[in-house]
Amino acid sequence: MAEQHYRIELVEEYDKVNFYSIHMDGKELTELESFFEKFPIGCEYDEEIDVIIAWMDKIAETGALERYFRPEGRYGDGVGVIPIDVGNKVRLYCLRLSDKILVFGNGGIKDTAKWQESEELAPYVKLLIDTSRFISSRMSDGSLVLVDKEIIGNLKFTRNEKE
Amino acid sequence: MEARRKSVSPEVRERVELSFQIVDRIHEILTEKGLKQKDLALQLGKKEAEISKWMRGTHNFTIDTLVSIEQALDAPILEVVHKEEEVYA
Repeated sequence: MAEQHYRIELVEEYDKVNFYSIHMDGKELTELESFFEKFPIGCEYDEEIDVIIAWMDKIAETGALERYFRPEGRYGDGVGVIPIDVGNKVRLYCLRLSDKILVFGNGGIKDTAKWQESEELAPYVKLLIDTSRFISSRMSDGSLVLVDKEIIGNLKFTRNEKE
Repeated sequence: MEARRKSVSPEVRERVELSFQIVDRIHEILTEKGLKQKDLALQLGKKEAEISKWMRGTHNFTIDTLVSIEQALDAPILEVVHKEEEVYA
């Protein structure tokens, strides 16, 4: 078992919603930045990435309403995937904490029928599922609260990841 | 991220913008009529999961689909812009 240390940090702020991302200790980029690094301009998935960014920019205007998301984790944990209706190959995962707070994880190319079977994607979804659980637990004991568009409290996390 | 955002094709932006407008309009009609997505699914003979998929803001609606939704909900979704009628003296 390897221990993972990470934090949640604000990456973009809008009138109706704040975008956060997970930032692993020792890594230069957040998980969201790391996702986009995998798909440089001119790559074969340009159109899919364009749709993801255009969708994110619309969410920035409208807020992170539940009906715009595709659930992906377990029921009720808030883990979702950014819906794209072209190609159906690229996956970017997120955690929707409210209409005003979105935490982006990482993603990649869907290479198996289910994310659970994908060596690349499963760790990203599991990280968000665990993070959702940690946040719920901290909200229960009052060490973390959601105030409007902000997550206030202890945003540092430690997790045991199966090798 | 900013560089990538600037390179997004205007056509894709316009398509996503229009898709959001369409699904927001469908949501508005459903709310006004006190209906749920599953009611629309039932009327169209589709699964609720398919309607949910349409409603996320990136679906590429066909004219056939839009017409069937308009008929099922008995309300307009898209309107075509016409050239203003010329007034002859």
